[in-house]
Amino acid sequence: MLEIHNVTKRFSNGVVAVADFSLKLEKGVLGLLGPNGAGKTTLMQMIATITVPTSGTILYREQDIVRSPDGIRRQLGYLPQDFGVYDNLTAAEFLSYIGALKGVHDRKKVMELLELVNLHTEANRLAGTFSGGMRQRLGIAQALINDPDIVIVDEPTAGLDPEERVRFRNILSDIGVGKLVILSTHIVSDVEAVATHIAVMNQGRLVASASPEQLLRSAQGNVWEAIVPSDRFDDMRMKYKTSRAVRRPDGVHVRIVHRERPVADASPVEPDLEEAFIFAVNSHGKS
Amino acid sequence: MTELFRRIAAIIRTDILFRFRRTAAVVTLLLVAAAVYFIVPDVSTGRTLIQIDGRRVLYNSAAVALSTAMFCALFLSLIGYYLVSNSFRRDIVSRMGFIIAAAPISNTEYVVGKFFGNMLYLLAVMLACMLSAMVMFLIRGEGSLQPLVFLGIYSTLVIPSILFSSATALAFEALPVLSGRVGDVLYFFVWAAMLGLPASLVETASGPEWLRALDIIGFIPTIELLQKQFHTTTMSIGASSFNAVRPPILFPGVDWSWSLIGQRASTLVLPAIGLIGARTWFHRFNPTRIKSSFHHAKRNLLSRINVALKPVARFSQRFEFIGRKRTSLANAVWADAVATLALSPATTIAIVVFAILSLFIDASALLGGVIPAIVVALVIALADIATRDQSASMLNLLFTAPKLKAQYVIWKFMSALVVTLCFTLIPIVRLVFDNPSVALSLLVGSCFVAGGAIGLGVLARSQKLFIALYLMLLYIALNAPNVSSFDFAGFSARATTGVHAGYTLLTILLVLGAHIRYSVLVRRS
Repeated sequence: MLEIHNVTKRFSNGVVAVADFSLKLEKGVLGLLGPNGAGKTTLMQMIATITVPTSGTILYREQDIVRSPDGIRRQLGYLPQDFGVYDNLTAAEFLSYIGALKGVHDRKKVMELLELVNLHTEANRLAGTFSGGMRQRLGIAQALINDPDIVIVDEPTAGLDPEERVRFRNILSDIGVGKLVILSTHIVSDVEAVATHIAVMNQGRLVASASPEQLLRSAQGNVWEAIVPSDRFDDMRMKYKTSRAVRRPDGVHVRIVHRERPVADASPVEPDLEEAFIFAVNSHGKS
Repeated sequence: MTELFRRIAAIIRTDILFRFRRTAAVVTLLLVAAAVYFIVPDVSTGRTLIQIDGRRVLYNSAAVALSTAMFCALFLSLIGYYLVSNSFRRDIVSRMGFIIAAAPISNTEYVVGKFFGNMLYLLAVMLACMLSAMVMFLIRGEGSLQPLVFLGIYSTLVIPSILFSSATALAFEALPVLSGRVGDVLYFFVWAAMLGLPASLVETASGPEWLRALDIIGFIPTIELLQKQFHTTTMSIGASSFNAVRPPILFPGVDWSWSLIGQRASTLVLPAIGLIGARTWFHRFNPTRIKSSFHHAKRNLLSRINVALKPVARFSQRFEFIGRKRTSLANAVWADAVATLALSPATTIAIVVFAILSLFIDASALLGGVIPAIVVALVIALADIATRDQSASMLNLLFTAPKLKAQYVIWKFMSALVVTLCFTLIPIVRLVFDNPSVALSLLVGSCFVAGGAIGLGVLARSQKLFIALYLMLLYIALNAPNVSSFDFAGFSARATTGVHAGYTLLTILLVLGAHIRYSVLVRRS
């Protein structure tokens, strides 16, 4: 469906945001994970035809999206990071506007989408008065207005409270059937809940691409649990990647992501996705 | 084709909805109506709209329409730009631009949609002006109301101004170098040049014909029309005194000729060039060509200069220590003033340059050259002091500091005044010895500029109103040196005690108005 071949994006100041990135994507929810500054947003902006690669090609249904961007634009829904709204438009007016830009002029569709994101009772309320979660839901509704094949959502849960995050994940999970949904985030639990495939980026490069199960398997044997005295914990934290630490009366219960046993009394444990992510990011270039 | 029009129509509709739901739109329309009230004076006051050889021109439909339309064209060619010059920026700040960029809409459709959105908004302002002029005609007119005469004259004179402002605003916004304050200030000088050029063409009666295409405001055809009909060059348009003993004369109306229509049509070339420029330079929200927030905007000219001069900022930060032992408000005032200099190192350089010039230049050049230049520099330096905290989402953080929440407007005013005095203190001290009255004018003017920057910034929640109004006031003051009431900073050394008192009162009103508005906003939030 979407093929990314050796894509590099270099800014005029010399910074390489995305480096030689290649990936083939099919229907399903792709969780694009990476630390801040990994190049996720730039990659998504290139797929969304907002910016062009310095080199490499992106093919949508075998068509180069740089040469003919309108092909993908007709089938694309995009929710940018820190999405804002025109505060003086109502939710329905806002959706009608985006719909018109995408060639959708169906009032019924607007109301259906507002219902999907549970904003139908707020259709005539000014979007400027919405909470952060309601805005994000309106954002996902506008991304779906043209019934797209590809939906790109960039850090959609940042700033949302736990309840709104769960609600948002559920919406993404529902729309992921029959479409390619690219969900960029650095919050692993968001991806864990909905992704069928995970791509991990670090410093502009693709460092892992696998299903969640495969990613977990790749980290097996590389996550350790140990109890360390409180006074040694700071040294331990400086030396190893710790994924979790809980202070208890007998010391600090710590989980460490490392290829070798970090301390003699450390025992191997089953990794979770967050630890698999840390392992992928940190093992890249070291193996 | 239908789809293309529907997309453009959607952009226009959204722009119109967005703008007309803002209080600012209502305020603008009310201000226009109020301005027309003052433009059409009651003849019993000894003032009239059009005066020819000292004789009053009767208030018939044609005369009222012609004179008010000229003011409307003048107003919209300048203020119109500032009213609409945020079309692209709004989409950048809200990040709606990224959604639009990812939608199947062409750059041409988007730019054309925004152009018509701008145009229709300004057209609404024109209609408000025209309707107000008709109402004034019903109150003070002499003869029957002829709506079609109003419509014809307004369309011919004002629409080129509207098209020019709409297109130039987009072109300036599309070009990163001109997309900020520098563009706002530069536009004023473009406007001033366009105003001066036709006047000189009429005066000298020479120059190539094509220069008439630059007469967006319609100054040349209006003056030529009056000269042709009354066979004189002594005339004035706008509230001016007349000889009440001499009988009034009748303006028979506009002589619609192909030459006149062709001349007005030729002024559409400039808006067309602006629109083509906007389309050519439009960035389609490409993040490598724009920066997505106010905080990272470094592509415009002023930001580039400030980045290049950043080492100078270290110099201004050395003065931070002065405030350390003072009470918290004074300390905060000083810190904010130092922050202004640190944010804009070019301001520090300008202060030094003006200080040196003020010490060594002769007195007439100081008044006629240096002080006007200082006012322009101040307009650039002070414009964002009132709005930058909100743009940077810093307000809540600042409000945790003692006293700042309650005294925000006073704090900002004092800070702007400190920066202003950095520019004007040396000229003031020098003038105290040369001409104490002018020194007082400059001191009052310093407060007036600082008060305007903060007052208008808080009231309009934008720096554009301050830039537009103060540069226009400066233009008027320099072009009407005999009118003491415009001499707000001592340019012509004509300000009287009454003028000083007037500008002091205006300063107090601006700061007080801003304080009240700000208090209401805080209470609501």
